[in-house]
Amino acid sequence: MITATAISDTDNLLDLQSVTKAYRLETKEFLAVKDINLHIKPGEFVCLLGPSGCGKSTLLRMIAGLNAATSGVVSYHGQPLRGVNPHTTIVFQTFALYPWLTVQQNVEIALKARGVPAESRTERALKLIDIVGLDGFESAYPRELSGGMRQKVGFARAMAVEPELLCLDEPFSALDVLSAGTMAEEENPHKGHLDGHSQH
Amino acid sequence: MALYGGYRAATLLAKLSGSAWADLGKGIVATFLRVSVALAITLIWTIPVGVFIGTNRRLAAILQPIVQVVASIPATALFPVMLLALLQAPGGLNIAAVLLMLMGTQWYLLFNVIAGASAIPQDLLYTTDLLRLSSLDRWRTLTLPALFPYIITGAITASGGAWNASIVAEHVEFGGKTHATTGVGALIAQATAMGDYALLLAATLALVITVVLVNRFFWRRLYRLAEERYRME
Repeated sequence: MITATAISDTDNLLDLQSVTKAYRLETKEFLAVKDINLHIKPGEFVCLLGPSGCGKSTLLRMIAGLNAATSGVVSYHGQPLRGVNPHTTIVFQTFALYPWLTVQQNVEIALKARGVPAESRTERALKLIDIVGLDGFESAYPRELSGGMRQKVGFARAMAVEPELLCLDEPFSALDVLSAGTMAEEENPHKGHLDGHSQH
Repeated sequence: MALYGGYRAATLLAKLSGSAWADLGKGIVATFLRVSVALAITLIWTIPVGVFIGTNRRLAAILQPIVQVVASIPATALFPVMLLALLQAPGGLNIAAVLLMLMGTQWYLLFNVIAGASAIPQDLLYTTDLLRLSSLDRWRTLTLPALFPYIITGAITASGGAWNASIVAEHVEFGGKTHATTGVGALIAQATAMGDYALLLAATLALVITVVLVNRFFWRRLYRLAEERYRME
């Protein structure tokens, strides 16, 4: 269970007002997240800390509009969120790469979904792959990569979407310290970030 | 012993006339087409329905037992009813044969598609939602590749069943009259009814060899592709 508070602001990118998420297991109700108030401004970098199972991932999913809150309001640019938030993306703990697509295809599909014309997709995908340090692995399949390399593909794909709010679930969990530092620098400083970190 | 058996089989096959062999070739082609049509129809309806059921947990809980009951109705129990309706129509037995194959085999695929759809990792579904792929891209990028191994496994079982079903589907005794259509299954059934051992042996061998060849050069390759490329980690 997380509890967080901050001061409200009209220019906020994201506002959570007493957001609660309960799951029903048989007859027992299980509170994953209770009364969270959180406000994020453009350019802010927010880190959620807490032990495993405390509701960080649940909160990220509600922010992205993948799960609806049981009660409370999730607003984006002051508007209550309905359905998937198109300006947000999540890099999941499992990285969620398409196993049948190569590194490059995994990034290109995100560019395609964003409406980037076919001619410029390859060039941009290669640039993103180079940024995350996977130059030379464009035609590799995810199963041929280490955990850290897969996570980098997840970052490249998330950056391809150019989200206003980038949510990272357990970011850099699979990365070595050096890569984690480089990766943190590459995150666009003009946009919001929300990282769910567990305390290790 | 094996040599003697082989010799007896060869002498038996040597008795068959050229026109009998030609009929057998035609029969194989006709049954192959029927099996393909039955499989195509099966794929067309089971993939969307299976995905729909497999990705809606609440719906799955309601529909799964219903589907299981429907699937457990033996196809041969419904076959006479279908014949009654279809034998009057031109090419009626042809349609009825395809329907019998369909009824016997479609469930394998439906259950496999449901299993495949419900096995897609949640994070992959979420990621696809967040990317907001067009529905065509969603099918091409996520759903069909994820289902591919399940579809191939189901289709191998289904097509094997359909070939066997041809024996009861293409040659039927109904209301004291014999109805038959062109097909290797019809030839096997006729040869059995007439006690024509040479034709029975030839037709059975032809059926077995065709099924083995199709498995080896078509299904085996797809199966390997499914294992190598479309395996979920």
